[in-house]
Amino acid sequence: MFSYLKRKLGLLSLANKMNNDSDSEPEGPVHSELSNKLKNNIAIISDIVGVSEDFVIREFKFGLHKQIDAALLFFDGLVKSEEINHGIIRPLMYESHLLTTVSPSCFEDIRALKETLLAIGEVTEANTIEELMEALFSGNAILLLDGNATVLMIDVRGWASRGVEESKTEQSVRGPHESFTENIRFNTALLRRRIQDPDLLIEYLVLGKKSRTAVCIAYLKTVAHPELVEELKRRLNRIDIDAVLESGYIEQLIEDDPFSPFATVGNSERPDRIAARVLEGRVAILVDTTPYVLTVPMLFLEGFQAPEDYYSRPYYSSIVRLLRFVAFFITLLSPALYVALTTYHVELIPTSLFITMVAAEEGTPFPAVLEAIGMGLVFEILREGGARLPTIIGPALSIVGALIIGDLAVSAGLVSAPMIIVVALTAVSSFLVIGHTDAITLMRLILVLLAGVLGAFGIAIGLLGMLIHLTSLRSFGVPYLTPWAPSVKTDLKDSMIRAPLWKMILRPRLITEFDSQREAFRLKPHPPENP
Amino acid sequence: MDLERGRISSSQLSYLTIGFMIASAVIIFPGSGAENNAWLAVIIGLLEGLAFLYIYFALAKLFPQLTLVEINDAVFGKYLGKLISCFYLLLALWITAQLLRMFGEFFNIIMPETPIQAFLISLLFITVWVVRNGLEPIARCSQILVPLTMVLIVLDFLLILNKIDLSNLLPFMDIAFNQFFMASQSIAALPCGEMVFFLMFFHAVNNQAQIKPAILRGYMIAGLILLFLAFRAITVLGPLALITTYPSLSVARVINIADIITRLDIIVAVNFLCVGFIKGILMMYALVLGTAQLVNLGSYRPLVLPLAALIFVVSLLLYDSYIYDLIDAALLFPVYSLPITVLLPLLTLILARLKNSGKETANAG
Repeated sequence: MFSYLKRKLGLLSLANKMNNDSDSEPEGPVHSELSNKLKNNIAIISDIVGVSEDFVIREFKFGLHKQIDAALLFFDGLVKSEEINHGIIRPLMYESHLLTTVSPSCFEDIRALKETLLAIGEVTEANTIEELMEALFSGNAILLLDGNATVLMIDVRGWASRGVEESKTEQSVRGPHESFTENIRFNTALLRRRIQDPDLLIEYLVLGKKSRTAVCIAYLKTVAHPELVEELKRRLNRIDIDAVLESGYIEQLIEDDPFSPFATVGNSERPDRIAARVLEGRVAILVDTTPYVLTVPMLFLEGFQAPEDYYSRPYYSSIVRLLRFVAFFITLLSPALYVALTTYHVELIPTSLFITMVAAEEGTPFPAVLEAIGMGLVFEILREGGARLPTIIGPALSIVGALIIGDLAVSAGLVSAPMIIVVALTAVSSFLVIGHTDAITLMRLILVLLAGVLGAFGIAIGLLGMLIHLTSLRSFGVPYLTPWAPSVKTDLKDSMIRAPLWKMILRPRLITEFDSQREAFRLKPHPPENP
Repeated sequence: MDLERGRISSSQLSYLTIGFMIASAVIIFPGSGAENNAWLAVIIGLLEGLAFLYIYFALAKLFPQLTLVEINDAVFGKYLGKLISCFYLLLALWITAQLLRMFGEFFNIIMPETPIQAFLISLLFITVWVVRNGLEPIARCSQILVPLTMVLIVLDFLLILNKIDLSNLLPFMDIAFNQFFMASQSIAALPCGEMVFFLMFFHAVNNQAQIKPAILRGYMIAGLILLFLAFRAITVLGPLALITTYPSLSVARVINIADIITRLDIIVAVNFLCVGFIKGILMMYALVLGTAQLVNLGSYRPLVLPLAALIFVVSLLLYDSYIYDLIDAALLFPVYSLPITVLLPLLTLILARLKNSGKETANAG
């Protein structure tokens, strides 16, 4: 008890100290100017970088009489060596000789170099060590020239990265197959290719003191709610962390209710899905080094939507949408209902079914609750094992999982056969509602326990509790259960069913109120009558 | 004093009204005292209740943005007003405890071996949770739970269609007038008079002009459901409806579609849980907010848990058995509740009008 208090006090004083520290810090970083001596500059920089093996300092001389001292600094692997060779070194050392008409001293000014010789698209000037270092670490080559206090930052970024490939986690039968990659430039391009409008703003910021991760927020200027964008920026600017290695870091630091099992920030690696959400007025957060892009606000409904719903015709989409809701309740409730029925409410089961079920349950040594929890645990183990398993060993897992655990557990009389069916149904259904898998897993366990203690009444209490939680939840100011509670009648067109595309005239009302009409009225196709 | 910043929309107010009105009727037999003329008793009671509603509307219009407790303070002065508020709050405590006990007894029928305290505590637990979250989540809950109940009632009706026997409605008015009068008064008191506690929520409605139409819309739908429930109990069960404790359960047990769809008790249980829960949290919220305003607290949240404990104890001490509750609801409740839910507001309204006109003449003179 006392040690706990002491620890708590220690944490408090630490927090105070840190606050005081940040107060005493001067405003903004100190900018150290570069000198105009090449040797000094190189000494300062190599002092900062230290003895890194991948840091390259290429010193050379050029000019008509080889009279100009220069140095090129870059990190091997972050830059394209071809561009270094052909765009920087070759023009300076070889092609400068061809320009015989100019005066020999004209290359001594670094700006002249930028304007005449360098064959690279993006070249910027820098005067301070800080600017220089940042550019260096993000994959620029730095050109220093003796006698100049200004250096050139040359964009020759080109590190190894995966190309645009098919999405592994969100596949579709119909629709684009490409997915985001780890490279934020590709990702913004994938988004930009889908929304080719000046309205699409992509704002850039850097998060993580050590990782210096590039983060972009993308939204439609005239559609997204300005308050939403402001609030998101406020929450992002709050983040003070050493590294942002994945968008999950950001998600966990900006979400509305960190204790809720339900996600209040959406994510996807499909550009078409992200583009659709941005078009609805949401804001996307792209993070460098991860293909998973976040969107806010997220609604409960989004867990049930798939891009394909909008690509196929409305009847089938609506059936699939309804199916997902059914699957949601099956995967959430079936183990709990099975436990409640076999333990407490046997009178509610029709007689023939009752005899089969209870006969199966009688032969097993454990109560239904323990069976349900145990089999649920086995399923989660199999799922987690399958997710991390090298693909070569995959078949072994399914043999062990399906045959040994499933079949033999029943033959050995450890678990009843109906329970295996229930667990299997639960497992299969859970794959239909990918968006809420983690929340469902937790809720299912709670409901099974409640069913074991209080039967159907326990399940009802659990569901009511879940409902209360969901109704209290908000994501960036938007109630989580929109469009059901609060009910927004115009938004019901895209909830349990998916209305025809020509009917979905307005954007979701609670997400944005600006530029709300997204298509013309009377888009319903009218083929001309045959003469 | 702004204890609650939550805002509810007019459609949410309608749903709340429906849930509040039909809560106990989904399991008991509304107007049971009038036997097979219960439907008529329901109509009379509802018309009487409509008159009550207009008293409440008039009060809400005179004192917009004020709750019942604050209205009492404004009209009767600081001390007498608080005394009068106590009457309302005691009644609210009584109703909440009664409802909770009803829950416990009902689920005890389904699961007889579980002690009633287990039901009461778990229900109170989630009630406390939602009340602490404020009025907005309550209103949003009603938008899910009330439509669900309405769908289930319609489903129930479709499944029971083949068992309806209209001859059960006869003989018409073959009872003493006294009996009929008491039955209609029980309807007027039990869901309609209790609507006085909605004065605790009116201040949170975002469009004050919409209060009246929204409540009336909800009242109409709830009235139709009440009427239908009474009608169903009489026509399906006949004289049996008066003997069974839970006519709705009995009705659900009658359902038999080709020997496959049977024993739909669970529908009734779900219905009761949904709308009873809405009524329970509304009453609890009114009680807690009213108590906080009575003693001038800055926030009502610290009161939720202690009052829940009080409700738990009161609900256990209320009766020896559920039959007392039924008798109380049918015969005694109108006698002790109507003076509080109708006469007191009426008195408040008259006094407020007099005060206002006095002020106006003073201003004019």
